[in-house]
Amino acid sequence: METKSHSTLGKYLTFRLGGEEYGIEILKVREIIGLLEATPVPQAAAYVRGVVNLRGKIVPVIDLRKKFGLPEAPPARDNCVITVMYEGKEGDLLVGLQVDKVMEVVKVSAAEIEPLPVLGEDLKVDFLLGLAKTKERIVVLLDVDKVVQEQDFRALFALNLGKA
Amino acid sequence: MSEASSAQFQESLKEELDSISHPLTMADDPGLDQVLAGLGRFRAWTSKAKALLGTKAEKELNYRAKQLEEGLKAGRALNVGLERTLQLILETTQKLNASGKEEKIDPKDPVPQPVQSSPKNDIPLKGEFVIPAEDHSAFKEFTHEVPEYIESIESNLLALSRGENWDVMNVYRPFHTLKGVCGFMNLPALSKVAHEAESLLSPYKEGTGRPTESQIDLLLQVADVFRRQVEQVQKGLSRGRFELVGMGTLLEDLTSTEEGESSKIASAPGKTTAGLSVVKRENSIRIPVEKMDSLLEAVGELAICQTQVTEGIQAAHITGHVASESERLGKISRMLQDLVLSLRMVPVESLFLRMNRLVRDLSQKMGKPLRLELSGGETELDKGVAEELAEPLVHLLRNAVDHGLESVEKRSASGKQAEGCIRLQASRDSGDFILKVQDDGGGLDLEKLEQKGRALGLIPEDKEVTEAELAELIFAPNFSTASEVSEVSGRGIGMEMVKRKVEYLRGSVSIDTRPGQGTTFTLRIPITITLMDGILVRIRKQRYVVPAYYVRQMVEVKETQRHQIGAGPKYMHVRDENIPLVDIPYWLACEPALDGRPILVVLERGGRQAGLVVDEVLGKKQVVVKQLGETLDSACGIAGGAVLGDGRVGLILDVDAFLREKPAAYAAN
Repeated sequence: METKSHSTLGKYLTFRLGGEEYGIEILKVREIIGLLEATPVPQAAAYVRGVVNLRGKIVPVIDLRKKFGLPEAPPARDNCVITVMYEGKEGDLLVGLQVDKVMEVVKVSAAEIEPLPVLGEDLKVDFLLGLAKTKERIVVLLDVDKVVQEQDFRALFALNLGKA
Repeated sequence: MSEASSAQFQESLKEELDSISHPLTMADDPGLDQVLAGLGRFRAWTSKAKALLGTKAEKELNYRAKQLEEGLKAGRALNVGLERTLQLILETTQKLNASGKEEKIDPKDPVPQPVQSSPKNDIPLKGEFVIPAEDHSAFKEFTHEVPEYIESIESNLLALSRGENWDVMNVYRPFHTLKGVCGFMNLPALSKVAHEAESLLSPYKEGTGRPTESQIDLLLQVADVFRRQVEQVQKGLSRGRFELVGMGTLLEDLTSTEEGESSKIASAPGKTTAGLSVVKRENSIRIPVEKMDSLLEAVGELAICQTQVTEGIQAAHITGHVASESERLGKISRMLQDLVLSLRMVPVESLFLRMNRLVRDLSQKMGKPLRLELSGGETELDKGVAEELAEPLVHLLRNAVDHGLESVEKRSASGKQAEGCIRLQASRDSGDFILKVQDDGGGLDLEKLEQKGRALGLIPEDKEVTEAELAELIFAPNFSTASEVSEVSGRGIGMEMVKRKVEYLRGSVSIDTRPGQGTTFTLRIPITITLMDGILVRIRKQRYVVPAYYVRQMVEVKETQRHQIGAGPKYMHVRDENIPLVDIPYWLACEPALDGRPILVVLERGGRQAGLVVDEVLGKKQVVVKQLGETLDSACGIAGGAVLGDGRVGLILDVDAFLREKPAAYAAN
């Protein structure tokens, strides 16, 4: 069905969120910006912090902590927004992802990819590209398009917790 | 061939080719002349280098250059074909160099060779075409250029069909160019069909006789094939492959068509009707819309930055040179913004010309002879608006032909000309674009409208209605007085769509109907939807933009003026009027202010009113409207965003939604 094969190999920008480190494909990343004051959008999903003006473009900012169902954390100096280009229904769109801290760019080779753990049958994990073991730590590789489009991770995660 | 001379050959050839292809990017007249001059030099050069090249190769190169030259002279510079031929020339010379003089050039190279030599059955008429990677940009160019030729073909054929003066070459030439283009692009079926169209036209090149109606029909069908193919290429371009369109029996029909009555109407000598000339060579550049948008964004940011600098200067009480220069900077940035916005303006003419075809088809289908009169085609409006207007215009014309114009019998019975007339007229009036669609038919049947309106409960039983109100009924959803649903119209959807689209464009539509004389629809639309006049308001901590167009008045109100019916809808009693309130907690997720000195912004549209209670009115502002994107699709009540003077984003309220939907929280409070 899906003709585009997603190669997991390549360069990833990693960032920290809670206690974990995540990676997104470097090709999707446009830039890293500080926390601009966002205009909240009423009736938007709770994880949308609002919209910001990025050099004349209006860009929505998603709070990844909220989206992943993590508890809120006090603002810190390292907090920042990674702007990414994702594949929307009607073409590519720019969106900002607010994370705790940007770490580094890592190159992931085939040998470093670990199989996904079995996370429960009902858990849709297609937003995960894989787990990479690199420099003695595990980086969770994310599919940006799916992460942005997925409506409710909290329900997803809660479901899993219920089963465990 | 010696190493040195070969290198020299390559070098000077490259230079020559550069001088040919470079001016093409400018696509203007001097550019074309330069190319032609360059080609001339190139040909002279190849004959000089005969000894070096060998006679055969010299002939080949000369032939290709000449062909190119002719192609350029015949029509407009066709970048697609040109680049390809240049590449071929370059490849030929490389081949020559690689293997010496004796190298034979493959005669099957896709030069714009006439294709008629190939047997008909060998041509694949259907299937998938894979775009070679190096041809991607050529195909992109294809989708831009081919429609221009189709437009030229259609408008000239339609002029012919209307019996106007015409020049066969204005149709012949674009078909010839299309044949060449499709040859270059390796689309033999299309090339073939263009060739057949050409053959059909060649008897008329003598200047006598005109193609018959059925031949015109066939030629229009050929144009349709090209249009459909362009659509397919557009769709498939990003995937690198597209479907070849089928053309049914068109090829056979073209070849078997009878010769036209060759001298029935002698083609009038002299010039063709103005405005229908072959595709004009324009002194212009094509720019992708995304680039224009980025430019607009950058200029918008410049203006904001400049405002902030000016404010900083004022706050620091700096006067003199710096202050006056900053003022000048402000003027320049405003000028820039106006300029960028004006780049998006296009004449409405191309939209009009598209309607020609539609009207002709309708006239045939309905058996109602008619002529379409166009005026004001040079009037400019935003490209985006022009595109949005196409659909309502189609519906209005359909309506005019189907319901507006009477049948021929009826017309002659009432002493009218058998031929109906539809006028399409564009003009500008104080910043708005005005479009009139006028027919000289029987006018709206107001009696029938009233009957139907009462039957459907659209008019309250005991209420008297004015003629204008009755005419308005035709915009009601699913409203149709046609007793039968025809192929053309009658489902009562078209006119509602017209109204919705016009309102979406923040415009209005009015009807003027006279029994026995016809009906005129007048559309009044702002020339751009990129720019909007807004009232900037504050509700609690947030600033919002209310489209000024909806705002009827703004009044200071007191808590005591607010009333509520049970736990139901809230309204405000203002100047002897009771105005329902916009449900702020529902739409904007905050409580409305009523403690300070609130202001009621009265919104009105299509006879409906609603009051928005705001804390403060911050002023009027012209904003550039931006969509928020699909991540925020769920945010109803918000129509978009705009960057405000301080660089932050203000949300634009979706007043239409406020007025359309019932207050949600009837029972909630």
